[in-house]
Amino acid sequence: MTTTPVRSTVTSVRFIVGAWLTLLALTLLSGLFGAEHAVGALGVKGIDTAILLIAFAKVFVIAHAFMEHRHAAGWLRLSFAGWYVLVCGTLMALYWM
Amino acid sequence: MEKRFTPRTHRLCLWTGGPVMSVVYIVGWVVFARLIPAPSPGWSAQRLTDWLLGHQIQFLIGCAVMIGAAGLWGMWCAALSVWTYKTESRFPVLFATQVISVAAGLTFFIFDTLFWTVAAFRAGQRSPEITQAIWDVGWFGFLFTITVYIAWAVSIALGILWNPPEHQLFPRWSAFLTIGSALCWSAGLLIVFFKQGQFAYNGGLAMWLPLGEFFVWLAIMTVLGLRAISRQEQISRHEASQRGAQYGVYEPGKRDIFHPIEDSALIERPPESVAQLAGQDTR
Amino acid sequence: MGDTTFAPDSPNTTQPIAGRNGTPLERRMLKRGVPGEVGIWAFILTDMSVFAIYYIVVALSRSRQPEVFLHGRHLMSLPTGLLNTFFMLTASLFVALAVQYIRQGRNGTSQVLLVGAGLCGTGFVITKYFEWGAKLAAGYTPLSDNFFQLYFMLTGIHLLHVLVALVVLAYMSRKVTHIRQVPAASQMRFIENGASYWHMVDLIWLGLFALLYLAS
Repeated sequence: MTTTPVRSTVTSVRFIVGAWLTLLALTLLSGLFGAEHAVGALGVKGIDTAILLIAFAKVFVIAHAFMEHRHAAGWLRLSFAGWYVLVCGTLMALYWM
Repeated sequence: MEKRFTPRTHRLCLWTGGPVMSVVYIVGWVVFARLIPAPSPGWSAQRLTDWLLGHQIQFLIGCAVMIGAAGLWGMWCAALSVWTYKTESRFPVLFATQVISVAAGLTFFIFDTLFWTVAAFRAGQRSPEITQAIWDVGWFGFLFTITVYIAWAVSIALGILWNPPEHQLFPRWSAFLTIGSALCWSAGLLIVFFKQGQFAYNGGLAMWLPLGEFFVWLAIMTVLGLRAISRQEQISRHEASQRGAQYGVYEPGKRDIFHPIEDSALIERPPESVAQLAGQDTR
Repeated sequence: MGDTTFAPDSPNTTQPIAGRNGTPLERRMLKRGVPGEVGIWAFILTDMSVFAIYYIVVALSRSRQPEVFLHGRHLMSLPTGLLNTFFMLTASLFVALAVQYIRQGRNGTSQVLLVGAGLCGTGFVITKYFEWGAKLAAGYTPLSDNFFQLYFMLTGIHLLHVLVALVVLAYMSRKVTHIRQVPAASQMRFIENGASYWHMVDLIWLGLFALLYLAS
């Protein structure tokens, strides 16, 4: 017996579109940081840190929402978490030097 | 044709051509040749000559050590290629590709050290420009010839992904890892444009990263290769219990020495029982 | 080996399309633990590690020659970078949505989305062509200085990834035409592999965008 396709799924369309809008918003925010430097009290290092953190936040959203890590196995999420921490940490250290 | 599996030679090839080769090569590179940091293509010919003369004997020893290690590498590739052969034994196109590519790759692996050696051999006695030209050939031979390694890596990967799964002894993810690694190595092709920076032949992204990644990949594939050998031992023993003693695993033991004349009876008719082997049942 | 077993290719029109915990295909993915197969994640993690080294090298080179990098960064066109990022993010959106619709059996809609993703990817390539063209016309080549060497080479390597991704997209689209109502496990696996690769290409761009266009 065939049933007509039901729209309810584990990952909803709204969730994916919401993630995309979040990504666009974060992109525009980082663009603002990148456009004017030494904004107020943050200083150049503060701006760079903000830009890097926003970039890795976007990476997390892509992995979490688009790559469906929300439901993924522990080893995969752990590997990615290790990547975020190591790479973001190293970059921030280098930008702070 | 021998139907038993011979794991001892497999393990020897894998260990010697992989980990032993790597350690010896790295010792030659780091300790003797002192190629950390490697001279830049942007150096003047005189500066390169002075650098070579500064530790010439040591450098030549390093080259001898590196070339000795390089000669071993083919054994490792052979140890891997037979598993591809197992998955396509009647028409072994990927196996043949691997053998052909490795033959070429091994030649390049040897001749890059060969050119570095020749450059150092008469450094100072001939014009620095000639020294540098020969030196450059060595580096291009080391990195620019990466295409045969890519063909080799891709044929390993396709042997795992596209060949029938019944005789696969490597996990599918190792094929994806191999493809990813081959992509990383291909940055070596970019050295042709640059004499300084990350994509020059001494650069971090065109040389150090692919080289480092290659050794990491080699370590992982060695572990998987050892597992494949163990798995094949299990399979062969099972085969022996199902199909007879001429299958199974060959363990070197008492009857290692084969006397062609006295034992010719064995060639004519395979022994049907242990008693016949002991000579009690002669026909 | 574990992950070589899969269901035969037959349309399972006798099963319900969706249950309380999602479609059967989603439940299979959840049971497997990863979208696609384990191998594609080995590839993705390898490639991401390589790009991580690329990012770190950019940061190291910048700390050695800060003026060169500041000068180069000021010559980068932020609007173009934002447009590139938009194309990448939107292509990813379309691919992610397409995967959902394929799982629900809505193959027609998913094809439209895949074409949309292809258009975004093509838009990225065309934008890159004009961006590079402008730099070259202004006299900046990969040989100009270390910033431009890294800029051209790394965005070039990423561009190659995008071109491969477009080919993968074409194969995904072809796979969808072979689906009869609901995909078989092997078809879904290929599509999820391709989609994951696309998201990786998007992900690695974000790092390049931050380091080459935004950070000082």
